[in-house]
Amino acid sequence: MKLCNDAEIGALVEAIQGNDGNDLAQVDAMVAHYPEDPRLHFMRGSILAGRQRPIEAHAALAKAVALAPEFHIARYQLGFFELTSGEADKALSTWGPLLRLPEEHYLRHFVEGMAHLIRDEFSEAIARMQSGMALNQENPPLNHDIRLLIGECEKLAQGDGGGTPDGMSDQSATSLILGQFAPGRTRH
Amino acid sequence: MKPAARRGVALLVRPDRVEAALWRTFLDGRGDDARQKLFDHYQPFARRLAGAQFARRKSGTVERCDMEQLAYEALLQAIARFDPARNVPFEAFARTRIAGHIANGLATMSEAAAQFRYRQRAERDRLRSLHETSPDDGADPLAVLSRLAVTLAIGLLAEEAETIDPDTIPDGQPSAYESLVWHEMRRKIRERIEALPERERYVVGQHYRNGVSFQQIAAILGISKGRVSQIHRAALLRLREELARFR
Repeated sequence: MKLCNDAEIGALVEAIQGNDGNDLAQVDAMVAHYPEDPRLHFMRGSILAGRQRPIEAHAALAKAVALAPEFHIARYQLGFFELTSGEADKALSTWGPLLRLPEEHYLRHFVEGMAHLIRDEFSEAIARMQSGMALNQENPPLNHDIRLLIGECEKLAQGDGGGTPDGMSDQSATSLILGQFAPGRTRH
Repeated sequence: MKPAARRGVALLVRPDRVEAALWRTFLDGRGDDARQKLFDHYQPFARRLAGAQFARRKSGTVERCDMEQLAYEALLQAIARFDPARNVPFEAFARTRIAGHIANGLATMSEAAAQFRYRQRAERDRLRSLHETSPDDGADPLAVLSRLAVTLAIGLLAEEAETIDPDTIPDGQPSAYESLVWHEMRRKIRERIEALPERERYVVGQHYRNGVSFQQIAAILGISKGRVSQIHRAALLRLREELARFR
C-alpha cells in the first residue's frame, strides 16, 4: 500500500487552513495519486461534509474506514455522520469496534455516551462524555463539540427543550481533521 | 413500531443529511423499501405543487385529485431519474418536471373526463379488489352483495374529509344524531386502520387518505397492481370483521 508522507499531509493541512477554496481539488489530486491512503479519504470526507455534499462525504468516510478498520477517529466520525443523518442503528453498528477499545480510551467513552443519548438517557450520556473529555488529550476540537452537546443534554435532562447545538458545525469537523494531522500526529 | 421520542437524537439530526441518507439507501440497491421512503418524504412537496397549480387554474372543470395523481406520477418518474451525485437539490430537479407533467396531463385529458377520471378508476379498482374470489362464492347473492356494500362503505368512511363549501351543502342535512354516529364510525375506522399490519396500513392510508391510485402504490412498493388489490381487499375485510366485533 503506497501512502503519502508526512510532508505531503502537512502541505494539505496548510491548504485547508488557508481556506483558499482549492483544498478539495488538492485532496482529490492526492487521492488520485495515493488511492489507498485512508487519511486522504478521511480528509476528503470532512471537506465534503463542510460543503454540504453529504452523499459523497459519507462515501469518503466509509472508504477511509474500509481501508483502515483501526483508524478510530475516522470510524468515530463516520458513525457520528450517520447519527446526524438520522441513522442511529447504523451509527451504533459502525461504532461497534470502538466499544472494544480500552476503558481509558476517550473515544470509547464518547461512543458509550452517544449510545446513552440515543436512548434518551441524558444523565448517563453526560457522565460518559465528561469522562471522555477528561481523557482526551489528542483532539481539543472534539472536546469543544462534546462540551456543546453536553450543554444541550443538560437542558433536556432538566426538561428545558434543548436545540441543535449551533457551534457543532462542519467547520469544527474540519478543525478536528487539522488537529488530527498536525505535525507528529498522523498516526492512527 | 415507531421508536420512542428520541429527543437526544433530535439534537443532532440534520434534515439535509437525512434526505441524503434516503438517497444513499436507494442507491445502495435496497430498491422497493427505499423508494417508498423517498416517495413518502417528497409526497407533501408534490401535493403542494399540485395544490398551487389547482389554485392557479380555478377553471372549476378539473378536480384537485387529478392534479395530485399527475404530480405523484411525475414524482415517481423524477425519483427514478434523479442523480444525487450531481449536487442539484431534488426539489429543484423535480419541480419543473412535476409542473410540466401536470400541464401535459391536463392538456391530453378532455376536461369533462378529467372531472371523473380518478374517481371512476379508483372506484373500479376497489370494486375489483373486493370482488376477487372469496369464500362468499356460492353463497346467497343478496348476502354477498350486502357484504360487498358494507366493505365498500368502510372504504368511503376511511377517506379524508374534504373541505366543504357551506354554500354547496344541500338541503336535507343529516340530523345531529346522524352526524355524531357518522363521525364516531369514521373515528373507529381510523383507529382500526392504524392497527392494521404495516403493508395493509400503507395501502389503505395512501389510497384513501392521500388519494394515491393502486397503480401508483404498486410502483412505489415495487409490486404488481394485482398484489396491491389483494392487500387492499385483505385490509378491508379485516376492518369489516373487526368493526363487526366491536359494534
